[in-house]
Amino acid sequence: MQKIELEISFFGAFRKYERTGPLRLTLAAGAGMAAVKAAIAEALDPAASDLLKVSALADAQQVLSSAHVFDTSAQLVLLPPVSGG
Amino acid sequence: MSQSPDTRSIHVCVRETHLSLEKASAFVDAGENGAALLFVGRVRNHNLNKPVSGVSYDAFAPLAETVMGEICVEAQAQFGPDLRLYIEHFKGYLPIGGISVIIAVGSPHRAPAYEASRYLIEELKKRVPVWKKEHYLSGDSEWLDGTSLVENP
Repeated sequence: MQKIELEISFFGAFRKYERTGPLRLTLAAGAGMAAVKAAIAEALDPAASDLLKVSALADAQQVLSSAHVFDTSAQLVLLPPVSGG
Repeated sequence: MSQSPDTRSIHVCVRETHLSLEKASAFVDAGENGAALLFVGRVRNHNLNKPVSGVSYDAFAPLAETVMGEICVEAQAQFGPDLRLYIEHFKGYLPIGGISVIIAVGSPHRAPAYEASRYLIEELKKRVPVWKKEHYLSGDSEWLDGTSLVENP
């Protein structure tokens, strides 16, 4: 099965988990949003799970929908609820 | 696919240096405009009964600027294609009184200027990937709750 590599950068309240640069995950091509979030949860402190549920994955152009399928390797960002202004 | 912002009438930026009120005013000024409205967000010295010493702003700048541009395009579609719109948001640490966001609107008439300004700040707070960490006089600090970007969280 073909593998993809996802590089995930953290922002806001997730910054504290970015110890040595972005999180790198290797997953099967075709993974869905739930699988990617499950892999992130496994890599993080269990205390981050509630925040992870309400956080979005995005690339530089757009926030990815819950139906997004990860077919290729990508650089992503994990975005907790926003509070600018 | 959303429409790209017209950079002649829309300016958006996430900046790690001082936000300039003068530049905002100059951008939205035009001979045909009878109204110019400036909204300035500043760091206040309290929140939820806690004394605040400063705020750190984090931002994912590429997407933040894209979303701010989309919001401006929406405002022109709703309130007038002749509006001149300017949004800058700060990234980094600000002490009390520091300017975190500037929204400027130039318009031929005042009503669309007020409406557009309100729309821009409300949508920014809900949609733009920026985060606020408050620092308290006690020495503690915490990231503030916000609005989820997940559909149906």
